[in-house]
Amino acid sequence: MKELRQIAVYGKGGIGKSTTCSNLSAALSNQGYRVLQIGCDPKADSTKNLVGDQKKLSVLEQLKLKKNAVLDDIVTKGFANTYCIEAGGPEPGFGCAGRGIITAMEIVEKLNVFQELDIDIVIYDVLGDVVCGGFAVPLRMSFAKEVYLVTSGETMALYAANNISKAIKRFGERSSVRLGGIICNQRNAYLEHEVVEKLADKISTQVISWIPRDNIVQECEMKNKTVVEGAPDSAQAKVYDDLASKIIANTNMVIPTPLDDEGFDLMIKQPLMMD
Amino acid sequence: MDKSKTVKLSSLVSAIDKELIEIGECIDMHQFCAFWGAYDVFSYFDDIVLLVHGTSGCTANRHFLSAMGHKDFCDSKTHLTTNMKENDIIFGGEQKLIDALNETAEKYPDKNIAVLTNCCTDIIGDDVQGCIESLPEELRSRIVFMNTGGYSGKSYRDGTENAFRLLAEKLYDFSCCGSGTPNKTVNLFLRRWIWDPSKTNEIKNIINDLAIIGVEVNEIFDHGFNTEKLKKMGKADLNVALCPFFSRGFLDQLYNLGGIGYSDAAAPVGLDATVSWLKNIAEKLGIDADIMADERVSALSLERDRLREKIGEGRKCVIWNQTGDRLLSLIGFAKELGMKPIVVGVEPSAIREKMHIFRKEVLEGGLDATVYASKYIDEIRELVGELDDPIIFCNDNYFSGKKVFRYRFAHNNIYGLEGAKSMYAELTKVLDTEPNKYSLFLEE
Ligand SMILES: Nc1ncnc2c1ncn2[C@@H]1O[C@H](COP(=O)(O)OP(=O)(O)OP(=O)(O)O)[C@@H](O)[C@H]1O
Ligand SMILES: [Mg+2]
Repeated sequence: MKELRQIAVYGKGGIGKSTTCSNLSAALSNQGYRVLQIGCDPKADSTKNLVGDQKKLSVLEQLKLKKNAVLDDIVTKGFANTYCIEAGGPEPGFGCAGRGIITAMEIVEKLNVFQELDIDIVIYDVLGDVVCGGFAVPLRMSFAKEVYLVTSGETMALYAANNISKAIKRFGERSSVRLGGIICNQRNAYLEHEVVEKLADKISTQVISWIPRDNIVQECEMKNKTVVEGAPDSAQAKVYDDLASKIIANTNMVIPTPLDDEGFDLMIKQPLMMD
Repeated sequence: MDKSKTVKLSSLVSAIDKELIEIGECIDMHQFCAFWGAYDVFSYFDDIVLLVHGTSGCTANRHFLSAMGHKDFCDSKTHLTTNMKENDIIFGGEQKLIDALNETAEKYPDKNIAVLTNCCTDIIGDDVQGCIESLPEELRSRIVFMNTGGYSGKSYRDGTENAFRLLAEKLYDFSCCGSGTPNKTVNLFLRRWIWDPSKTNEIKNIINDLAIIGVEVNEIFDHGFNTEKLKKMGKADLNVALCPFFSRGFLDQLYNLGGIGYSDAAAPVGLDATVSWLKNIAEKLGIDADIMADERVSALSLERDRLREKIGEGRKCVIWNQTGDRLLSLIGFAKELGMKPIVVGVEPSAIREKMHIFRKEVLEGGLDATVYASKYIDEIRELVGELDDPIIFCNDNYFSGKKVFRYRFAHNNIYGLEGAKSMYAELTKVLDTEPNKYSLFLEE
C-alpha cells in the first residue's frame, strides 16, 4: 500500500493559507500526485479557486440535509483533478464550529474518502488559529502528521505561528505529528526576512519557502482560479511549483520549541534594536 | 483512633465557614446537579410543563431514577425536551427551542412553561434568554427559564433554591398575603423525594404533632401543586419545613415579598428535635403551649429513657451519612440517647453547600461531635474495631458482627413523634438481636 501523506496548514486569519494551499494542491496535482484538499473552516472558501464555478454543499450542510451522505455529495473535482472537500460550519455566533470540524472529519473518515479516491496527499487548510480542540482535530492521531505554518513578518502573524507551534509540540510529544517548516507569505513588512528567519530558528524549524506578494494572485482570484491555473507561466506559479517539490522532498520534521510570551516579545524587538 | 484524623465538627465547620480550607468544586454525589434540583422543584407543579433544551439523556434517565419512584410507581409524567442532536450542537439549537416553545404552548394552553438547559446547550452557548425575549408577550409571560448546565459546578441545591426563588418571583401572587384571619395556620413543606404510602403517613403524623400546639395546616407543598394553591399559601401565618435544606429559597422569598415568616428550627428527628421544632413554631406564632404535658410526648419520653438505659450512657456511635442535614439530625438523635457520636465520611463541600444549617446548628446551637476524617471502608472498619461495642449508623451493613442501625430515611418515618417512635423501635431491635455475621462485603 502506498503511503498517504497528510499535511495541515495553519496560520493567522487572512494570512494566505487558502491561497497557498490551493496553489500547492494544483502544483502537486500537476506533478502527478492525487491530491485532496480539505477546508477546515466554517467559511467553506478554502477550495473556491480550485473548483471554480461548481457549487457544492459543505460536509456539514450535507449532514443538515440528510443523515447518510455519500462520497459524491461532499467531494468536488477541481482544477487538474484535485479533489476538494469543505467542512463548513455554523453561522457566526451560533452553535459550535469546533464540534463541526470534529463531526466533518468523522464523516470523511467514515466514508473512507482517502482510500476510495486513492489519494496520495491530503492537505488540510485550517481556520486562523487552534481556537479549540475541534480545530486541532486534523493534528490528532491518524490525521495530519506534517504541519506547515503560514506567516508573514507581521507581529500578529508571527505570534499566531508561535502559538500554533505550542499545539504541535503538545501533540508531537505523544504522537508523530511534526512541524515541517514555515511558509513565509510575504507582506513586505519591515525586516520581514530577518524576523521570520529568527522565529524559524527559535522554534527549531526552517523557512521552506518565501512566497512573494504579487497582484497576479488577485487577478487570478477574480476569475476563481489559482495562479497555477490562471497564470501557469508566471514567476509566481513557479514559486508554488517549487514549494510543492520542496514539501515532497522535505525530511526536516521537528517537534517545535515554541517561545513563551516574554521570549516572543524579545524576539520581535531584537532585530529592530540592532542599529 | 488515629488522632491526626480527628477534629471537632465545630472546628471543621468554622474553618470551612472562614474559608480556611481549600475545597474543590464538587457536585453532591447523592443529589446531582442544578438541572436535577430545578427539575424536581418545577415537577411539583401540575400547571407547569417542563421543557428541557438540550440533549435528551438527562430527561430520559429521570423516569428510572430510584429517587423519582417507589414501589409500583415510576415517574411516568410527560417530560419534554428539544432533543438536541449533533446538528443542533454544531449549528446551534435556538430555532429548535423556539419551535418547541411554540408547540408546547399550543399543546398545553393552560400551563406555564419552565425551560431548563443541560450541559450541551451551555457549552455551545445557545442564547436561551434571548430566544424567549424574542417571543410575543403573551407567550413570553408564560415562560420561566433557568440555566442549569451542571458541568460548571452548579449544584442540586443551586437548582432547587433558584427554582424556588424564580417561582416565587414569577408566579406568586402576593395580593392575598395577610388576607387570612390570623388563626394559627401554617404551610407545610415536605421533604423531597417522598412518595406514598410514606408521604400520606408523614402528613398525617405531622398534622397530629402540630395539633399539640393548636396549629393547623393551611397548604402543603406537595406534588400536584399549582399556582392557585401557591396563592392560597398567602393565607397562612407561618411557613414550616420538615427539611431545613429543601425550600429555603422559597421561604425567603415568601418572607421578603409576602411578609410570611418561617420557622428555622432544625429537622424534627427524635423527640428532642421534635419538641424544639414545635416550640419554635409556637413561639413564632405567639402560642403558649406546654408540649411536655402532652400524653404522647410523655409516653415517648419514657420509651426513650428505656432505650437510653439499654444503650448505656456514653456509648460510642459511628455515624456514616454524607448528606449534611441528615448527618446533623443523626448527631442530635444519638446525643439525646446519651451516645457519643463520631462522624465519618464527611464531605467538606457538603458542609459548605449547606452552611446556613451548619452555622445555625453547630456554631450557634452548640451541636457537636467528633469527626473522623475518612471515607474509606477499611479505615472506618479499623476505627470501628478499636471502639468498645459501638453502634454504627449506616445505610448498609458493611460491619459484620457489629450493631448496625440501618435506618434509611427514604420511605421511612423519620419526622415528628411517630418518626422518633419508629426509630427508637428499630434501634431497640438492633440491640436485642444478635448482630449479623454477614456484611455487604465479608463473611467472618
Ligand atoms: N502571495 C500573495 N500575493 C498577493 N495576495 C495574496 C497572496 N496570498 C494571499 N493573498 C491575498 O490575501 C487574501 C487572503 O488570503 P487567503 O484567503 O488565502 O487567506 P487565509 O489565510 O486562507 O484566510 P482565512 O483565515 O480567512 O481563511 C486573498 O484574498 C488573496 O488575494
Ligand atoms: Mg482560508
